Amino acid sequence: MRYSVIILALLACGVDKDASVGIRVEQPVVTEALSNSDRLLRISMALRGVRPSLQDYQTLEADPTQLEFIVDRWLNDPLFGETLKDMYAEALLIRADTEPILISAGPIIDVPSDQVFEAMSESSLRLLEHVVMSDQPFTNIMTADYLMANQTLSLMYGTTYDENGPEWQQAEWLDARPVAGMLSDSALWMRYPNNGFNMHRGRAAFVAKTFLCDDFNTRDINVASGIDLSDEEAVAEAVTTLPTCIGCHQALEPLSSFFWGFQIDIPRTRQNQAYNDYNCAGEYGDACYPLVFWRPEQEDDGADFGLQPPGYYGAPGDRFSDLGQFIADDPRFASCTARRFHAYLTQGALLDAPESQINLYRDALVGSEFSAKALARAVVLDPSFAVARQVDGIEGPWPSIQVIRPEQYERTLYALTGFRLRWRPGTSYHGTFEDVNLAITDRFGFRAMSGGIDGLQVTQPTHTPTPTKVLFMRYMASESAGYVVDDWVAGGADGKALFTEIPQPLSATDNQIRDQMVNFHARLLGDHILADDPEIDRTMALYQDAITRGLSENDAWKQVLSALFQDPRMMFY
Amino acid sequence: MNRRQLLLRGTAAAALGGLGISNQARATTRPTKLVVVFVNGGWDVTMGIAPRLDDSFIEGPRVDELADVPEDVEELGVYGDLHVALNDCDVVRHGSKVYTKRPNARVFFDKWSSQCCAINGVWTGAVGHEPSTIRMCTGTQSGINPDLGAIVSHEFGANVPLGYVAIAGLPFVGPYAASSGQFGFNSQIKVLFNKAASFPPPTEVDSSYPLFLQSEADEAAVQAFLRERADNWSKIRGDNNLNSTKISDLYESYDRSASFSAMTSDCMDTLTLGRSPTLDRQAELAADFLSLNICKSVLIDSKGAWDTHSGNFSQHAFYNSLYGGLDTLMSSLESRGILDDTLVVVVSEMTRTPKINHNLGKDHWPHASVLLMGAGVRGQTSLGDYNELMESMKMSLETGEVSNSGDQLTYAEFFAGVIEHLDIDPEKYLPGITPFRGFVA
Repeated sequence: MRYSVIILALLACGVDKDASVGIRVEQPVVTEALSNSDRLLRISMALRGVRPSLQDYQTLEADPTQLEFIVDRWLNDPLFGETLKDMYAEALLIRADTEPILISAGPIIDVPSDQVFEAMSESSLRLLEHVVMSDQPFTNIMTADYLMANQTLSLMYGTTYDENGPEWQQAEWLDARPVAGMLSDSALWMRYPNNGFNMHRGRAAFVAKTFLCDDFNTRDINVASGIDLSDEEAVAEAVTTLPTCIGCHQALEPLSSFFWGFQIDIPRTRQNQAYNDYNCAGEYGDACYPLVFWRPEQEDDGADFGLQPPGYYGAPGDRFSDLGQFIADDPRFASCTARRFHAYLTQGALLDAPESQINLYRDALVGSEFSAKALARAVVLDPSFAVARQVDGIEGPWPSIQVIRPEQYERTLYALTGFRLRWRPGTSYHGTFEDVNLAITDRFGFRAMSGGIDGLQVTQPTHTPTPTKVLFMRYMASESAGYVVDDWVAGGADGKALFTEIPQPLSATDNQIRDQMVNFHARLLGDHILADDPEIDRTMALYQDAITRGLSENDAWKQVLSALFQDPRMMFY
Repeated sequence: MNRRQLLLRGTAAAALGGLGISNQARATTRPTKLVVVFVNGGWDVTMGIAPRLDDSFIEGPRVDELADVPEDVEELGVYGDLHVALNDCDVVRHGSKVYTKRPNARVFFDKWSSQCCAINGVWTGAVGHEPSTIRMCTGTQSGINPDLGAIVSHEFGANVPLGYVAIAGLPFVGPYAASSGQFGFNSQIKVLFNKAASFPPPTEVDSSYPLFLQSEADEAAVQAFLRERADNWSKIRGDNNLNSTKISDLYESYDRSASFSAMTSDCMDTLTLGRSPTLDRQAELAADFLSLNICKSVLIDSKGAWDTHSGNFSQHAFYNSLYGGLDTLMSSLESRGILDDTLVVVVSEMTRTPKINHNLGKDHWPHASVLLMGAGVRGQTSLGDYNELMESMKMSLETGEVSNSGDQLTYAEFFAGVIEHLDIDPEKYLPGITPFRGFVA
């Protein structure tokens, strides 16, 4: 039997959702569990974005108790670090590559815009990756006294950098800014500029939403009685006196006050002026590299505007570093982190999972001294993660089938074939772009068009097939197939790694071809079937059809692979 | 009948009977097509459809008039009950700087005012771009809900290749993602429709794209294979619930991507890979798609860096470009004979503060104005208003007349009114919300 079917009767909080209001009701839900191999596939895709190896499948088949050991190994795989970065890129909205990118000038004049963008967008994500993969407490993302920098970033920000060290390495800020892990990252606050007379309120709201799941923006504001939002004094008074404002602002105002010292923004246009018109002199000097984005002398400037002193939900604070520590110590940080991991790994909504389930994951995090690996482990090994489909009842909060994300698809195809879809767009008004990975970017690529977010206009991923996702996968599949078959024919390593059953392209016997099909179905799709299975017949027919129509053996293989790379078992897992 | 069956039935009908499948039962004033023009960043409506030229508190466009340029004059344009701000000055040279004012405004309103209804004083409930955009575009506080285009696509788009097309900008598709398509930031859709479209890889890569160019027969064979595999997968994982919805979306995406590709290849030729289409080009494409019944709703982007926290005067040029694009849009819809079937919604997530800040800019203001045009819209009309402090005034939701005994028009009532005008039951999407009806002719 290809699929072991286990019927689980689970009593849990099902969700009976009205189109807009989301009412929760308690309902029994009967589900069918995944087979062991399909469970392994789902876990591998969720944690690493690539398929399991055949050896992992075989290990689990021989001894199902090995699942936890395999998961532990995967949690130490650098690909899990990539997943973590993807997860928090979605939370921070930091990979917004359609935004104007800082200019290549001064010490980085020869650095193309795609690398400038990478330096800025990846720093905070790399810090998070480093914290988790080096087994530090996850709270260190809020408290670490270092940043992660590459050479470009160190030149842009003026941080320490060891040219003999790894490309991305631990570094220190040289401007004496208070350290609070990723919260100290200038790039984060350039992504969230302090517009006009906002007085850092937007930044405070972002921090509360992202790390505490306390989203001020879900509440409508009500500006009334002639408050001019461009009059800082009027606003400062209103938020502390008007009943319609106090509800949110009694928490938001003191949070905002932590951010004084960080600059408003350094737009690309100002940099161009600084370099081209003012020779980096005077007030324009801040916009030249190394950027001046922290001014210690402005740390207390909030008081000049009559704003409240820094504070954290009623507790008084002082410097920015206190904010990081407050968040790390806040029980909501653990709960929110548990929610974020669960939502990302299951492709659910952040607030959909019931509190009781989140509490289990939170306990796994807190009980392991804030090991994010333990948290991820708890989520993917939970029985609810292994649901294949619902047999009866209403929609539950657990995952059913998941849909491959663009980042996962890119990683999967690269792991299988060595192919990446890269473009050199060249120079335009927006900069010089030398090497752009089209699958995971948006300025020139297809990330948001294939279900991802662009971090700016699309801030929620789409976890279902769409016409443009289908077209994107069709394109990627045929190009990957074209690349890897050509490489195989040329004797390249990528081709040899994929075609394990056929040593010579033009001398394959029918049995070898069929064996290769069996191998592809297992490795690419997680279909562990025998050579006489009707599904193999179907794939063989696709190959034979190509030969019959006059295609070469090589192109027939490209046909087969272009189909398997966009198979429903590739789209869904 | 599920969505796939509806789509297939519709596709077959279109193939047999031509492209147009009009709903004869629908009242002639009810639009069946939609264009949303999104003004991304927050327009200053005092220099547009909520003119404020002589207010003592509100610093309208006259603050930008140049005293040494006699022709730089702000005027109140009166078109029936529609009031707009006009400035015919084309190019203003002031010192070394060159400014563009808004001569296209008069051109546009002289031509199209009979189609235009301005709604002023829509309360947005938020001051940040993202939450305000979500509210104004979806009528709700959640970005997982569908916007107007997605709803129209869902309601009317079963039998067209692609219900909702985002030519520029990116939509809120909610649960209707499978009927929506995006062109991408720089027309990258072109590569997906035409694999022969070439683009250079990085210098160290030897090969050039495409690496495998399939014939139509090759692609047909692969597609047949995939559908068989999907049928098999559906039997294994279908569950009459979330799984089945996703599998149904796969079928729908197969069908729509194929039919959309087949019908739009000529249109794609006019796009330049790596370049975002101009507003004029977007407008023409929108009219083409709607008139060919390729889709039912289109999202286009106004272009321009409207978020003018500094240098608010740059909005003059953005407005000039916007009016030019809107003229192209309306002319294109008219020349293709679909203006009477199409509702055009020009919307921004907010307007800007009444006062100029120290950077000569204006900040976020949680009130908004919307320009509606086209099918069934009361022409030459301004509804609602702002008070002397630029705050939304209460109005009758039935008539749009300002009234102290009326209600505050929020994003929700506005949204409900528009979908009701499109002959869609607003209760289905915004239960309990009173639709705003003032703009209906």
